[in-house]
Amino acid sequence: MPSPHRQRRSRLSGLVPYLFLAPFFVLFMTMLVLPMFYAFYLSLYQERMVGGTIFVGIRNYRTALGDPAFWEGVRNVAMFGIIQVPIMLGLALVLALILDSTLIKARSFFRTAFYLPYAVPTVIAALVWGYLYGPNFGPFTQLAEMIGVARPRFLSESWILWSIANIVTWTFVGYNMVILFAALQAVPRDLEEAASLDGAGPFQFAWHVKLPLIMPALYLCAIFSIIGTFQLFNEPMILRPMASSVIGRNFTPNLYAYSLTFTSAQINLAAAVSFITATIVGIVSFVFIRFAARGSGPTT
Amino acid sequence: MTIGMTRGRSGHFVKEKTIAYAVLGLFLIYTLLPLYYLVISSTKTNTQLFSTFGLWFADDLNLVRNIEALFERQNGVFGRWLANSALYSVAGGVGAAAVATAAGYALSKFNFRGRNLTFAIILGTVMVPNTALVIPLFLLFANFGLTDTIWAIILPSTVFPLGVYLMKIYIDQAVPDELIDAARIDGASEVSIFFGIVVRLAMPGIVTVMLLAFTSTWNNYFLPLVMVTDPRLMPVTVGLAQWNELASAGSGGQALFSLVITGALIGVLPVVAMFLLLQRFWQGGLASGAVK
Amino acid sequence: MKIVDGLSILAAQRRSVLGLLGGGVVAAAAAAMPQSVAADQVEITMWSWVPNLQMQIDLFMERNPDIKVELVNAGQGGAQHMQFRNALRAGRGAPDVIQIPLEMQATFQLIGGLEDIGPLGASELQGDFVDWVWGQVSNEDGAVFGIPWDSGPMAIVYRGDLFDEAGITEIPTWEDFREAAAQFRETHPDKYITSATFSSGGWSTGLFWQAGSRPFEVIDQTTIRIGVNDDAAREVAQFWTELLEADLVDPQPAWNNDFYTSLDRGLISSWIIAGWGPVFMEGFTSESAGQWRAMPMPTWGEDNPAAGNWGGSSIAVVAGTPEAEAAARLAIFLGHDQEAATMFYERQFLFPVLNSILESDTFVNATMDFYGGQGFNHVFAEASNTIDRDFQFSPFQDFVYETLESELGGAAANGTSLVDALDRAQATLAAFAREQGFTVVD
Repeated sequence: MPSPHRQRRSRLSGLVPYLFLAPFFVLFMTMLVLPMFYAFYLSLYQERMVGGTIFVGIRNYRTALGDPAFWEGVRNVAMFGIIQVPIMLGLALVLALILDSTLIKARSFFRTAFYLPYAVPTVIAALVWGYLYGPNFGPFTQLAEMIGVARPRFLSESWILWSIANIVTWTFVGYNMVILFAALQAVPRDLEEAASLDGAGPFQFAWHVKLPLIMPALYLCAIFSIIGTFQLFNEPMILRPMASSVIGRNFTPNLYAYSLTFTSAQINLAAAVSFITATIVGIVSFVFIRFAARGSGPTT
Repeated sequence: MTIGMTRGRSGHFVKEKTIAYAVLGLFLIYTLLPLYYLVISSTKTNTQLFSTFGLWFADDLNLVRNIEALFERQNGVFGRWLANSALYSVAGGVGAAAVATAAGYALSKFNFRGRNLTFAIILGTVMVPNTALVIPLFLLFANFGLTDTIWAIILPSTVFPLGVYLMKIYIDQAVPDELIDAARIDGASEVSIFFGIVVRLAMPGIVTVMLLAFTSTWNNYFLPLVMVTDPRLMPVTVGLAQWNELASAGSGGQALFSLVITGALIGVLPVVAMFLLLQRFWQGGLASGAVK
Repeated sequence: MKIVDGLSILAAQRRSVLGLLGGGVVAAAAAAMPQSVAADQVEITMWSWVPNLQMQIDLFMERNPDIKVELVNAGQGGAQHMQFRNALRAGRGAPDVIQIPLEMQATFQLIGGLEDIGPLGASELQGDFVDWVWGQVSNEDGAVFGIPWDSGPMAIVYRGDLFDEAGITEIPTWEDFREAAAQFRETHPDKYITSATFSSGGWSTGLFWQAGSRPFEVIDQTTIRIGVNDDAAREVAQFWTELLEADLVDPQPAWNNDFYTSLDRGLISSWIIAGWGPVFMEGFTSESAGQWRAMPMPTWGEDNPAAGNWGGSSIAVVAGTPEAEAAARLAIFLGHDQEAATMFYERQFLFPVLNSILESDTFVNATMDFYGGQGFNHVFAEASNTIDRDFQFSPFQDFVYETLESELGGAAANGTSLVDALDRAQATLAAFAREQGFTVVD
């Protein structure tokens, strides 16, 4: 272990930070870094039902990159990220701004209520929404019949991505709202007094003064949402029996890696798919952060 | 940081108020609808689920009978699942918070070689899709005979890079350098500084991280799905999904929807209760991570 | 005392405590615990999803006091296969005895997961089981990889009242079925005669099987013939494509809340389903109880009375278990003992595969209260006799089902050609098999 230069205390005490870091470091290495290397190692081989395991170099990567099924999943999550993430964050932002404004009462009640879905496991959320989506007898269909409008087709090919987006939105709007709300609470109150003296209404104030101040929190939410999007798994997995014809094994990259591992026993290809997915997430996050850093300069 | 200070100026902004309440009201309906459906459905028998209007009660209430059936099925394995979820989540939550607090403290208050690199790496791994690691981790664990044990779920749940990040930010703010320096001059040991000052002052942040890790472990599906085979080691999420799947597989299959729904309701309650009880900590703690 | 893998934490702890104590203390402690392990008792674990199986397990332990059986419900379908694979891969956590779906026999045989119990007494039982089912658990070399447990001969379970109103009494051939479907739609414009549940690989396979399709043939350990799009399968696919195009059958996927409700309300008025179906349907039908009847599946021509099969399972001994003898005894008991087998069809409603039961009057004439005193067994028992023996599953059946489900299920839902979907499935499966090192022939 290297000892720090520039220190005020004894040589021995230089070890202290490392000791505090040690438990995390050990777990981090064994549970995160080691499996990553192991996945990389696996991705260079091919285990076959006939003929055993062979070294194939980068062939699994070539296979995955040339596999339209994989890219279809990537396209799905990309669509999801481009449309669902802004909608969810927009909603969260609007709610946070309202709850932070002086317009309404019972804010604590609303905040807690909106936050509740986050406490619901995504598996359970997907099960419940799945029941609600039932095309013939789901409550929405029952309602549509009552008022005489066309039945919603939540589980059809053209709707399914957005039906899943709805479940994710439902689960995470409140979570993001709480983060944004917390950031808003840190905005100095005297600004509001000043603005209101200038005759600005609460909407103008929220838009022109508060929003720019909480951009960092918004970026944080966006980054986590984008990462979450690429990991989409539980919701499509649970909805599959109800919409098996439209949610294929490759609906998302994660679902694909799972199916490759456990249905067709192609663990090596699955490792490559996981690696490529992680790389894409890394690139997208990096680009987003650069973009955000530029965007968060002097704004008006 | 708390709500308070409603500086209502009655008469002002009537239009805006109406819009604000309308938005909140609509969103409230949206938020509560599935939960409402869950509660309603848990009072129905399997056949009532199929024969009655989904958003209202059936003629008779069968919640108690459903709960009894739920806890009796497969020799009461559901109770076991609840206990497992609790064990994994508490162990994962406490473990993650402890480890993250120590690491966050090191990153926040010490200037050591490799600090920035360590911090950057931790931030970077927040971006690794967790499922990308579950499968290799499973294969790795399998080599050591660790699959199908409680450790296969608990150990990975204690690694929580986001928690380290949050704890660093929180300790940056909540623990003044001067306090630590003063304690050192007084001759306090590093251990007593950590437990006596840092942990005490950073408690809201620690609780936040614990809650986050607790929830993510309670809600986790993929990791335990892959790691454990024995139904007696499964958490609620995996167990319920398995029952749900029973309705869709060949001979001997059964449609257990009423049990799945009742189980879902009961599986949600502990986390909801925990959040309602501890929300003060939770929201306060998150703020620090977000403001930075 | 064998350390059984994959037991509960509590049990594991108990055992490790026992291990620490001396032998005498162990005996004392054991005596203190009810149902605990005697000195020379063998402990084995079994995975099965059959409900209330403990009844028969208790019966077995009563008759075999030297064996203690730990019963674990490790789920069913994909979940169970995955867990078994995981356990085999990990070399740890696998049971000694396991319920294996018939269609997964070939898969687990190939990866070496199943023990040949022919020499342990299974070979002698061949003649007692339905011929085609025996074919699924054994090979030409005389190896036996499991005792047949139940099967799923297919027939049509339909709403008698709705069919009567449409004037449909019998449907001898599939051409007649087309007419019946049209007739049904005319009488009940808001309902369908049945659902094209191609989203279920087992269901589609049953239909192809009936038509004489032979999608797979393992020629030797490394060579396989794949023909999921053979002529028989194409004929079936073409037929259903036409029914779907003409809007004569419902296209929605099966196995979910909504589908069951549709059946209960008569929106879908019949289900082409296996012998285990009627009892399964009891779980979610309320309004329609008492209205259900059964008839044989239509045939592909008068001279070809074959039926199809969907589902069914076997009891296998896991390869490498140190207690193979005890495990085989359990498997043979559960599958072959008259008393146990009778209980299975009477109480757990497994469709029997023992000839003695299939031919017994009590079975054939059994009625079900739920169905208004109707008896369906004779219909399914007849179907059971006509199932093609030479049908083979692939050694990667999980993947085959998933491929069929996504291709055929997708085509059915989108109204595109099922024949084209079969061709795509063929290409996918052949490529997969080559990738796995097989030599693929046509």
